[in-house]
Amino acid sequence: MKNKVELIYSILSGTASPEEEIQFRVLMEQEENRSLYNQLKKIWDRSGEVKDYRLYDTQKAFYDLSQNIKSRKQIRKRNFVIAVSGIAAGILLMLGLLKLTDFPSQNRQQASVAFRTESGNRSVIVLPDSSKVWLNAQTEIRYAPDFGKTDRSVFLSGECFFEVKHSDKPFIVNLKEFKIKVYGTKFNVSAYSDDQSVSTCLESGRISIKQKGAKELIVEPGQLIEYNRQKSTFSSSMVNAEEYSGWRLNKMYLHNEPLIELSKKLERKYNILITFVPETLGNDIHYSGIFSNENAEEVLGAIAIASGLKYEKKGNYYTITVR
Amino acid sequence: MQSLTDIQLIEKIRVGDYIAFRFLFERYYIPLCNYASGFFKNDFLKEDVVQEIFTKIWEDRKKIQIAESVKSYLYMSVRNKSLNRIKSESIRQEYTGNFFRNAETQISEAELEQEEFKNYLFRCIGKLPPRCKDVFEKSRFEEMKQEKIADSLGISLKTVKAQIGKALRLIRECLQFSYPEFL
Repeated sequence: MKNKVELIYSILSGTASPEEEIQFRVLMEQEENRSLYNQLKKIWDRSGEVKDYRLYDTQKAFYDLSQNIKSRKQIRKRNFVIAVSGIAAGILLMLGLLKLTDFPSQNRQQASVAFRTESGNRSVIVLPDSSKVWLNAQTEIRYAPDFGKTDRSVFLSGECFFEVKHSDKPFIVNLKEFKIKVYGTKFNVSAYSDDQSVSTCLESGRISIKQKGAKELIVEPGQLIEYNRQKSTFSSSMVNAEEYSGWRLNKMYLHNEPLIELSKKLERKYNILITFVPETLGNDIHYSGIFSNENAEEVLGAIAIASGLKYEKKGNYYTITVR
Repeated sequence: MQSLTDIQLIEKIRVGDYIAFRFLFERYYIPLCNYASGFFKNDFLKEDVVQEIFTKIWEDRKKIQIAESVKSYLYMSVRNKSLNRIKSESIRQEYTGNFFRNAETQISEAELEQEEFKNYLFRCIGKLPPRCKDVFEKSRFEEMKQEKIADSLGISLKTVKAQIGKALRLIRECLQFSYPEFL
Protein backbone atom coordinates (compact mmCIF):
# COMPACT_ATOMS: atom_id res chain seq x y z
CA MET A 1 0.00 0.00 0.00
CA LYS A 2 2.75 2.41 0.98
CA ASN A 3 4.49 1.95 -2.32
CA LYS A 4 1.30 2.24 -4.32
CA VAL A 5 0.46 5.52 -2.67
CA GLU A 6 3.92 6.91 -3.16
CA LEU A 7 3.80 5.94 -6.80
CA ILE A 8 0.45 7.61 -7.27
CA TYR A 9 1.85 10.68 -5.54
CA SER A 10 4.69 10.86 -8.02
CA ILE A 11 2.17 10.83 -10.85
CA LEU A 12 -0.09 13.43 -9.19
CA SER A 13 2.78 15.79 -8.47
CA GLY A 14 4.26 15.32 -11.92
CA THR A 15 7.55 14.15 -10.52
CA ALA A 16 7.42 10.58 -11.78
CA SER A 17 10.38 9.09 -13.58
CA PRO A 18 9.83 7.17 -16.83
CA GLU A 19 10.10 3.88 -14.94
CA GLU A 20 7.49 5.03 -12.47
CA GLU A 21 5.17 5.97 -15.28
CA ILE A 22 5.33 2.45 -16.63
CA GLN A 23 4.75 1.00 -13.19
CA PHE A 24 1.77 3.26 -12.83
CA ARG A 25 0.18 2.09 -16.04
CA VAL A 26 0.49 -1.49 -14.86
CA LEU A 27 -1.06 -0.55 -11.56
CA MET A 28 -4.06 1.08 -13.22
CA GLU A 29 -4.98 -2.12 -14.92
CA GLN A 30 -6.60 -3.24 -11.71
CA GLU A 31 -9.98 -1.90 -10.69
CA GLU A 32 -9.17 -1.47 -7.02
CA ASN A 33 -6.08 0.53 -7.87
CA ARG A 34 -8.05 2.82 -10.15
CA SER A 35 -10.47 3.46 -7.33
CA LEU A 36 -7.57 4.21 -5.00
CA TYR A 37 -6.11 6.59 -7.57
CA ASN A 38 -9.41 8.48 -7.91
CA GLN A 39 -9.68 8.91 -4.19
CA LEU A 40 -6.15 10.16 -3.82
CA LYS A 41 -6.57 12.45 -6.81
CA LYS A 42 -9.65 13.99 -5.25
CA ILE A 43 -7.75 14.57 -2.03
CA TRP A 44 -4.77 15.95 -3.85
CA ASP A 45 -6.75 18.36 -6.01
CA ARG A 46 -9.03 19.64 -3.28
CA SER A 47 -6.31 20.08 -0.66
CA GLY A 48 -4.85 22.95 -2.64
CA GLU A 49 -8.23 24.65 -2.40
CA VAL A 50 -8.52 24.48 1.36
CA LYS A 51 -5.36 26.34 2.13
CA ASP A 52 -7.31 29.53 2.93
CA TYR A 53 -9.14 27.65 5.64
CA ARG A 54 -6.08 28.17 7.80
CA LEU A 55 -6.94 31.85 8.00
CA TYR A 56 -9.98 31.01 10.02
CA ASP A 57 -9.63 30.66 13.72
CA THR A 58 -12.88 28.98 14.64
CA GLN A 59 -12.21 29.10 18.35
CA LYS A 60 -11.54 32.81 18.33
CA ALA A 61 -14.55 33.40 16.11
CA PHE A 62 -16.77 31.58 18.56
CA TYR A 63 -15.32 33.54 21.44
CA ASP A 64 -16.04 36.81 19.60
CA LEU A 65 -19.53 35.59 18.84
CA SER A 66 -20.19 34.78 22.47
CA GLN A 67 -18.96 38.20 23.55
CA ASN A 68 -21.22 39.81 21.00
CA ILE A 69 -24.25 37.86 22.15
CA LYS A 70 -23.48 38.75 25.75
CA SER A 71 -23.11 42.46 25.07
CA ARG A 72 -26.30 42.58 23.05
CA LYS A 73 -28.03 41.11 26.07
CA GLN A 74 -26.50 43.79 28.36
CA ILE A 75 -27.78 46.58 26.16
CA ARG A 76 -31.28 45.23 26.47
CA LYS A 77 -30.88 44.92 30.22
CA ARG A 78 -29.63 48.49 30.55
CA ASN A 79 -32.77 49.69 28.88
CA PHE A 80 -34.53 48.61 32.02
CA VAL A 81 -33.13 51.52 33.95
CA ILE A 82 -36.09 53.34 35.35
CA ALA A 83 -36.09 57.00 34.55
CA VAL A 84 -37.81 58.61 37.47
CA SER A 85 -39.33 61.98 37.12
CA GLY A 86 -41.24 64.08 39.55
CA ILE A 87 -40.77 66.97 41.84
CA ALA A 88 -39.63 66.88 45.45
CA ALA A 89 -42.98 66.24 47.01
CA GLY A 90 -41.97 62.78 46.21
CA ILE A 91 -42.75 59.73 44.30
CA LEU A 92 -42.16 56.78 46.50
CA LEU A 93 -41.31 53.72 44.52
CA MET A 94 -41.67 50.46 46.33
CA LEU A 95 -39.25 47.89 45.04
CA GLY A 96 -41.88 45.23 45.02
CA LEU A 97 -43.22 46.80 41.85
CA LEU A 98 -40.09 46.09 39.96
CA LYS A 99 -39.78 42.54 38.82
CA LEU A 100 -36.30 42.99 37.47
CA THR A 101 -34.96 40.04 39.42
CA ASP A 102 -37.16 37.83 37.30
CA PHE A 103 -35.13 38.73 34.26
CA PRO A 104 -34.35 35.51 32.38
CA SER A 105 -30.67 34.95 32.37
CA GLN A 106 -28.60 32.40 30.57
CA ASN A 107 -25.40 32.70 32.52
CA ARG A 108 -27.03 33.44 35.81
CA GLN A 109 -26.06 37.10 35.79
CA GLN A 110 -28.65 39.11 37.58
CA ALA A 111 -29.76 42.54 36.55
CA SER A 112 -28.78 45.52 38.62
CA VAL A 113 -31.56 47.78 39.76
CA ALA A 114 -31.09 51.39 38.86
CA PHE A 115 -32.94 54.66 39.32
CA ARG A 116 -32.22 57.78 37.39
CA THR A 117 -33.45 61.33 37.39
CA GLU A 118 -33.11 63.70 34.49
CA SER A 119 -32.39 67.39 34.59
CA GLY A 120 -35.06 69.33 36.31
CA ASN A 121 -36.36 66.35 38.24
CA ARG A 122 -35.91 65.01 41.71
CA SER A 123 -37.29 62.00 43.43
CA VAL A 124 -37.32 59.69 46.40
CA ILE A 125 -36.89 55.95 46.50
CA VAL A 126 -36.93 53.28 49.15
CA LEU A 127 -34.26 50.62 49.17
CA PRO A 128 -34.95 46.97 50.00
CA ASP A 129 -33.76 47.57 53.58
CA SER A 130 -36.24 50.47 53.98
CA SER A 131 -33.54 53.12 53.77
CA LYS A 132 -34.79 56.23 52.01
CA VAL A 133 -32.84 57.97 49.30
CA TRP A 134 -33.66 61.36 47.80
CA LEU A 135 -32.28 61.84 44.34
CA ASN A 136 -31.45 65.27 43.03
CA ALA A 137 -31.49 66.08 39.34
CA GLN A 138 -29.27 64.16 36.94
CA THR A 139 -28.56 61.42 39.38
CA GLU A 140 -28.25 57.71 38.99
CA ILE A 141 -28.14 55.23 41.81
CA ARG A 142 -27.61 51.52 41.28
CA TYR A 143 -27.51 48.39 43.37
CA ALA A 144 -27.22 44.67 42.73
CA PRO A 145 -30.05 42.21 43.44
CA ASP A 146 -28.06 40.75 46.32
CA PHE A 147 -28.31 44.06 48.16
CA GLY A 148 -28.67 43.34 51.84
CA LYS A 149 -27.21 39.87 51.72
CA THR A 150 -23.77 40.56 53.16
CA ASP A 151 -23.80 44.31 52.86
CA ARG A 152 -25.91 47.10 51.45
CA SER A 153 -23.95 48.53 48.58
CA VAL A 154 -25.08 51.27 46.20
CA PHE A 155 -23.32 53.04 43.35
CA LEU A 156 -23.91 56.71 42.94
CA SER A 157 -23.39 59.31 40.31
CA GLY A 158 -25.03 62.63 41.07
CA GLU A 159 -26.49 63.82 44.34
CA CYS A 160 -28.47 61.97 46.96
CA PHE A 161 -29.57 62.43 50.48
CA PHE A 162 -29.64 59.23 52.47
CA GLU A 163 -31.66 58.20 55.48
CA VAL A 164 -30.10 54.87 56.28
CA LYS A 165 -31.83 52.40 58.54
CA HIS A 166 -29.80 50.78 61.28
CA SER A 167 -28.67 47.29 60.46
CA ASP A 168 -25.74 45.01 61.19
CA LYS A 169 -25.02 44.94 57.48
CA PRO A 170 -22.83 47.93 56.57
CA PHE A 171 -24.31 50.41 54.13
CA ILE A 172 -21.79 51.50 51.53
CA VAL A 173 -22.09 54.30 49.01
CA ASN A 174 -19.67 53.68 46.19
CA LEU A 175 -18.35 56.64 44.29
CA LYS A 176 -15.70 56.64 41.63
CA GLU A 177 -13.06 58.12 43.90
CA PHE A 178 -13.82 56.57 47.27
CA LYS A 179 -16.57 54.91 49.21
CA ILE A 180 -18.61 56.01 52.17
CA LYS A 181 -19.42 53.58 54.91
CA VAL A 182 -22.58 54.31 56.79
CA TYR A 183 -23.60 53.30 60.26
CA GLY A 184 -27.26 54.32 60.35
CA THR A 185 -27.63 57.92 59.68
CA LYS A 186 -28.62 60.95 57.54
CA PHE A 187 -26.16 62.44 55.13
CA ASN A 188 -25.80 64.09 51.77
CA VAL A 189 -23.46 63.11 49.00
CA SER A 190 -22.77 65.28 46.01
CA ALA A 191 -20.83 63.47 43.32
CA TYR A 192 -21.51 64.95 39.93
CA SER A 193 -18.95 63.91 37.36
CA ASP A 194 -18.66 67.40 35.93
CA ASP A 195 -18.07 69.07 39.28
CA GLN A 196 -14.65 69.99 40.54
CA SER A 197 -15.23 68.29 43.83
CA VAL A 198 -17.15 65.50 45.44
CA SER A 199 -18.59 66.29 48.83
CA THR A 200 -20.45 64.64 51.60
CA CYS A 201 -22.08 66.29 54.54
CA LEU A 202 -23.24 64.46 57.62
CA GLU A 203 -26.41 65.57 59.32
CA SER A 204 -26.65 62.97 62.06
CA GLY A 205 -25.27 59.56 62.86
CA ARG A 206 -21.86 58.41 61.74
CA ILE A 207 -20.17 57.77 58.45
CA SER A 208 -16.64 57.11 57.39
CA ILE A 209 -14.81 57.63 54.15
CA LYS A 210 -12.62 54.94 52.73
CA GLN A 211 -10.29 55.49 49.83
CA LYS A 212 -8.11 52.72 48.45
CA GLY A 213 -4.77 52.66 50.19
CA ALA A 214 -5.75 55.33 52.71
CA LYS A 215 -6.92 55.21 56.30
CA GLU A 216 -10.62 55.31 57.03
CA LEU A 217 -11.76 58.85 57.76
CA ILE A 218 -14.48 59.15 60.38
CA VAL A 219 -16.95 61.98 59.81
CA GLU A 220 -18.81 63.77 62.62
CA PRO A 221 -22.26 65.34 62.36
CA GLY A 222 -22.03 68.83 60.98
CA GLN A 223 -18.88 68.04 59.10
CA LEU A 224 -18.60 68.72 55.41
CA ILE A 225 -15.94 66.73 53.60
CA GLU A 226 -14.90 67.93 50.20
CA TYR A 227 -12.71 65.96 47.86
CA ASN A 228 -10.90 67.96 45.21
CA ARG A 229 -10.77 65.80 42.11
CA GLN A 230 -7.81 67.51 40.56
CA LYS A 231 -5.62 67.53 43.64
CA SER A 232 -7.02 64.27 45.02
CA THR A 233 -7.18 65.78 48.48
CA PHE A 234 -9.83 65.89 51.16
CA SER A 235 -10.71 68.96 53.17
CA SER A 236 -13.08 69.27 56.04
CA SER A 237 -15.16 72.05 57.56
CA MET A 238 -17.99 72.42 60.04
CA VAL A 239 -21.23 73.58 58.52
CA ASN A 240 -24.91 73.73 59.00
CA ALA A 241 -25.59 70.34 57.51
CA GLU A 242 -29.20 71.06 56.68
CA GLU A 243 -28.10 73.60 54.14
CA TYR A 244 -26.39 70.91 52.15
CA SER A 245 -29.48 68.89 51.71
CA GLY A 246 -31.62 71.96 51.18
CA TRP A 247 -32.30 70.90 47.64
CA ARG A 248 -34.78 68.40 48.96
CA LEU A 249 -36.91 71.28 50.04
CA ASN A 250 -36.20 73.10 46.85
CA LYS A 251 -33.74 75.38 48.63
CA MET A 252 -30.32 76.20 47.32
CA TYR A 253 -27.72 77.42 49.83
CA LEU A 254 -24.69 79.05 48.30
CA HIS A 255 -21.50 79.78 50.21
CA ASN A 256 -19.10 81.81 48.17
CA GLU A 257 -19.73 79.56 45.28
CA PRO A 258 -17.95 80.19 41.99
CA LEU A 259 -20.48 81.14 39.39
CA ILE A 260 -19.46 78.29 37.19
CA GLU A 261 -20.33 75.72 39.87
CA LEU A 262 -23.53 77.55 40.62
CA SER A 263 -24.50 77.53 36.97
CA LYS A 264 -24.14 73.74 36.89
CA LYS A 265 -26.51 73.45 39.81
CA LEU A 266 -28.95 75.70 38.06
CA GLU A 267 -28.64 73.71 34.85
CA ARG A 268 -29.49 70.51 36.62
CA LYS A 269 -32.27 71.94 38.67
CA TYR A 270 -34.06 73.79 35.92
CA ASN A 271 -32.97 71.79 32.91
CA ILE A 272 -31.41 74.75 31.17
CA LEU A 273 -28.09 75.47 29.56
CA ILE A 274 -25.95 78.37 30.70
CA THR A 275 -23.01 79.80 28.78
CA PHE A 276 -20.65 82.48 29.93
CA VAL A 277 -19.21 85.07 27.59
CA PRO A 278 -16.31 85.33 28.17
CA GLU A 279 -15.89 81.81 29.58
CA THR A 280 -13.68 83.00 32.41
CA LEU A 281 -16.62 84.89 33.84
CA GLY A 282 -17.71 81.69 35.54
CA ASN A 283 -14.55 81.47 37.63
CA ASP A 284 -14.10 85.12 38.50
CA ILE A 285 -17.38 85.66 40.26
CA HIS A 286 -18.50 84.02 43.51
CA TYR A 287 -21.92 84.01 44.99
CA SER A 288 -23.43 83.50 48.40
CA GLY A 289 -27.10 83.34 49.13
CA ILE A 290 -30.20 81.26 49.42
CA PHE A 291 -32.70 80.51 46.75
CA SER A 292 -35.94 78.72 47.28
CA ASN A 293 -38.81 78.22 44.94
CA GLU A 294 -37.68 80.82 42.44
CA ASN A 295 -37.64 79.83 38.83
CA ALA A 296 -34.55 79.96 36.65
CA GLU A 297 -35.16 83.44 35.37
CA GLU A 298 -35.65 84.86 38.83
CA VAL A 299 -32.45 83.24 40.05
CA LEU A 300 -30.40 84.43 37.14
CA GLY A 301 -31.97 87.83 37.38
CA ALA A 302 -30.91 88.07 41.02
CA ILE A 303 -27.39 86.92 40.25
CA ALA A 304 -27.09 89.32 37.37
CA ILE A 305 -28.06 92.27 39.48
CA ALA A 306 -25.83 91.27 42.36
CA SER A 307 -22.79 90.73 40.17
CA GLY A 308 -23.12 93.44 37.60
CA LEU A 309 -23.90 91.02 34.80
CA LYS A 310 -26.73 90.59 32.37
CA TYR A 311 -28.27 87.53 30.85
CA GLU A 312 -30.05 86.69 27.63
CA LYS A 313 -32.61 83.94 27.31
CA LYS A 314 -33.67 81.95 24.28
CA GLY A 315 -35.99 79.15 25.33
CA ASN A 316 -33.88 77.04 27.70
CA TYR A 317 -30.60 78.63 26.68
CA TYR A 318 -29.13 81.39 28.79
CA THR A 319 -26.09 83.47 28.02
CA ILE A 320 -24.45 85.51 30.74
CA THR A 321 -22.33 88.50 29.79
CA VAL A 322 -20.87 91.57 31.39
CA ARG A 323 -23.18 94.56 31.62
CA MET B 1 -22.16 15.76 20.82
CA GLN B 2 -19.88 15.17 17.80
CA SER B 3 -22.03 12.40 16.49
CA LEU B 4 -25.33 14.25 16.73
CA THR B 5 -27.00 15.19 13.49
CA ASP B 6 -27.67 18.81 12.58
CA ILE B 7 -31.34 18.44 13.41
CA GLN B 8 -30.52 16.95 16.79
CA LEU B 9 -28.22 19.88 17.51
CA ILE B 10 -30.93 22.35 16.51
CA GLU B 11 -33.35 20.68 18.89
CA LYS B 12 -30.87 21.06 21.70
CA ILE B 13 -30.18 24.66 20.76
CA ARG B 14 -33.89 25.37 20.81
CA VAL B 15 -34.01 24.58 24.52
CA GLY B 16 -30.94 26.65 25.27
CA ASP B 17 -28.05 24.21 25.03
CA TYR B 18 -25.10 26.51 24.39
CA ILE B 19 -22.67 23.63 23.95
CA ALA B 20 -24.77 22.24 21.13
CA PHE B 21 -24.75 25.72 19.64
CA ARG B 22 -20.97 25.73 19.81
CA PHE B 23 -20.81 22.38 18.04
CA LEU B 24 -23.04 23.59 15.25
CA PHE B 25 -20.90 26.68 14.91
CA GLU B 26 -17.69 24.69 14.76
CA ARG B 27 -19.16 22.34 12.24
CA TYR B 28 -20.15 25.06 9.80
CA TYR B 29 -18.14 28.18 10.48
CA ILE B 30 -15.29 27.60 8.06
CA PRO B 31 -17.27 26.21 5.15
CA LEU B 32 -19.81 29.02 5.45
CA CYS B 33 -17.05 31.64 5.55
CA ASN B 34 -15.48 30.03 2.57
CA TYR B 35 -18.78 30.06 0.76
CA ALA B 36 -19.29 33.72 1.66
CA SER B 37 -15.88 34.57 0.22
CA GLY B 38 -17.50 34.01 -3.14
CA PHE B 39 -19.39 37.24 -2.47
CA PHE B 40 -16.80 39.39 -0.74
CA LYS B 41 -13.10 39.80 -1.15
CA ASN B 42 -12.92 41.35 2.30
CA ASP B 43 -12.18 38.81 5.04
CA PHE B 44 -13.90 40.74 7.75
CA LEU B 45 -17.18 41.03 5.86
CA LYS B 46 -17.59 37.36 5.18
CA GLU B 47 -16.83 36.40 8.77
CA ASP B 48 -19.14 39.15 9.93
CA VAL B 49 -22.02 37.81 7.85
CA VAL B 50 -21.58 34.29 9.21
CA GLN B 51 -21.37 35.57 12.78
CA GLU B 52 -24.57 37.56 12.29
CA ILE B 53 -26.37 34.45 11.14
CA PHE B 54 -25.29 32.44 14.13
CA THR B 55 -26.09 35.29 16.51
CA LYS B 56 -29.60 35.37 15.12
CA ILE B 57 -29.94 31.61 15.47
CA TRP B 58 -29.07 31.83 19.15
CA GLU B 59 -31.21 34.88 19.88
CA ASP B 60 -34.25 33.47 18.07
CA ARG B 61 -33.61 29.91 19.09
CA LYS B 62 -37.04 29.38 20.60
CA LYS B 63 -38.82 30.22 17.39
CA ILE B 64 -36.45 28.60 14.97
CA GLN B 65 -38.18 26.72 12.18
CA ILE B 66 -36.07 24.85 9.69
CA ALA B 67 -38.07 23.13 7.00
CA GLU B 68 -35.41 21.76 4.75
CA SER B 69 -31.98 20.63 5.82
CA VAL B 70 -30.05 22.66 8.35
CA LYS B 71 -27.16 22.72 5.92
CA SER B 72 -29.14 24.35 3.10
CA TYR B 73 -30.75 26.72 5.57
CA LEU B 74 -27.34 27.94 6.68
CA TYR B 75 -25.96 28.30 3.17
CA MET B 76 -29.10 30.05 1.97
CA SER B 77 -28.90 32.45 4.91
CA VAL B 78 -25.32 33.29 4.06
CA ARG B 79 -26.20 33.85 0.44
CA ASN B 80 -29.16 36.09 1.20
CA LYS B 81 -27.39 38.08 3.86
CA SER B 82 -24.36 38.55 1.65
CA LEU B 83 -26.43 39.84 -1.21
CA ASN B 84 -28.29 42.21 1.09
CA ARG B 85 -25.03 43.44 2.48
CA ILE B 86 -23.71 44.14 -0.99
CA LYS B 87 -26.87 46.02 -1.88
CA SER B 88 -27.04 48.09 1.25
CA GLU B 89 -23.39 48.92 1.64
CA SER B 90 -22.75 49.62 -2.03
CA ILE B 91 -19.48 47.86 -1.92
CA ARG B 92 -19.57 46.74 -5.48
CA GLN B 93 -15.84 46.96 -5.69
CA GLU B 94 -15.61 44.17 -3.15
CA TYR B 95 -17.97 41.95 -5.02
CA THR B 96 -15.96 39.30 -6.77
CA GLY B 97 -18.53 38.99 -9.49
CA ASN B 98 -19.59 35.44 -9.03
CA PHE B 99 -22.69 35.93 -11.09
CA PHE B 100 -23.70 32.34 -11.09
CA ARG B 101 -24.51 32.56 -7.41
CA ASN B 102 -26.68 35.51 -8.03
CA ALA B 103 -28.78 33.72 -10.61
CA GLU B 104 -29.57 30.67 -8.53
CA THR B 105 -32.52 30.50 -6.25
CA GLN B 106 -31.32 27.39 -4.56
CA ILE B 107 -27.97 26.15 -3.49
CA SER B 108 -27.21 23.18 -5.67
CA GLU B 109 -26.57 19.88 -4.04
CA ALA B 110 -23.31 19.60 -5.93
CA GLU B 111 -22.15 22.92 -4.56
CA LEU B 112 -23.08 21.96 -1.03
CA GLU B 113 -21.36 18.67 -1.39
CA GLN B 114 -18.19 20.28 -2.57
CA GLU B 115 -18.14 22.73 0.30
CA GLU B 116 -18.70 19.97 2.76
CA PHE B 117 -15.99 17.78 1.38
CA LYS B 118 -13.50 20.62 1.57
CA ASN B 119 -14.43 21.17 5.17
CA TYR B 120 -13.93 17.54 6.13
CA LEU B 121 -10.72 17.43 4.16
CA PHE B 122 -9.38 20.40 6.03
CA ARG B 123 -10.20 18.76 9.32
CA CYS B 124 -8.45 15.56 8.34
CA ILE B 125 -5.37 17.47 7.30
CA GLY B 126 -5.48 19.11 10.70
CA LYS B 127 -5.29 15.69 12.33
CA LEU B 128 -2.04 14.67 10.67
CA PRO B 129 1.00 14.10 12.85
CA PRO B 130 3.02 17.33 13.05
CA ARG B 131 6.01 16.53 10.84
CA CYS B 132 3.82 14.88 8.25
CA LYS B 133 1.39 17.80 8.28
CA ASP B 134 4.18 20.28 7.88
CA VAL B 135 5.58 18.60 4.77
CA PHE B 136 2.15 18.11 3.26
CA GLU B 137 1.11 21.70 3.81
CA LYS B 138 4.33 22.99 2.35
CA SER B 139 3.65 20.93 -0.71
CA ARG B 140 -0.05 21.62 -1.21
CA PHE B 141 -0.63 24.96 0.54
CA GLU B 142 2.60 26.69 -0.22
CA GLU B 143 3.16 24.84 -3.48
CA MET B 144 6.80 24.19 -2.69
CA LYS B 145 8.75 21.78 -4.85
CA GLN B 146 10.00 18.60 -3.22
CA GLU B 147 13.62 19.68 -3.32
CA LYS B 148 12.86 22.96 -1.70
CA ILE B 149 10.92 21.25 1.09
CA ALA B 150 13.81 18.86 1.67
CA ASP B 151 16.22 21.77 1.87
CA SER B 152 14.14 23.94 4.15
CA LEU B 153 13.52 21.12 6.63
CA GLY B 154 16.93 19.55 6.33
CA ILE B 155 15.61 16.13 5.32
CA SER B 156 16.17 13.90 2.33
CA LEU B 157 14.06 13.90 -0.81
CA LYS B 158 13.14 10.29 -0.04
CA THR B 159 11.79 11.36 3.33
CA VAL B 160 9.71 14.12 1.73
CA LYS B 161 8.10 11.64 -0.65
CA ALA B 162 7.49 9.20 2.17
CA GLN B 163 5.89 11.86 4.37
CA ILE B 164 3.56 13.06 1.64
CA GLY B 165 2.64 9.50 0.81
CA LYS B 166 1.90 8.94 4.48
CA ALA B 167 -0.21 12.10 4.57
CA LEU B 168 -2.31 10.94 1.63
CA ARG B 169 -2.87 7.56 3.24
CA LEU B 170 -3.84 9.02 6.58
CA ILE B 171 -6.16 11.61 5.06
CA ARG B 172 -7.84 8.91 3.04
CA GLU B 173 -8.28 6.74 6.12
CA CYS B 174 -9.62 9.70 8.07
CA LEU B 175 -12.16 10.50 5.39
CA GLN B 176 -13.17 6.87 5.02
CA PHE B 177 -13.64 6.56 8.74
CA SER B 178 -15.61 9.73 9.40
CA TYR B 179 -17.05 10.67 6.05
CA PRO B 180 -17.13 7.56 3.86
CA GLU B 181 -19.74 8.87 1.47
CA PHE B 182 -17.23 11.39 0.17
CA LEU B 183 -14.88 8.91 -1.32
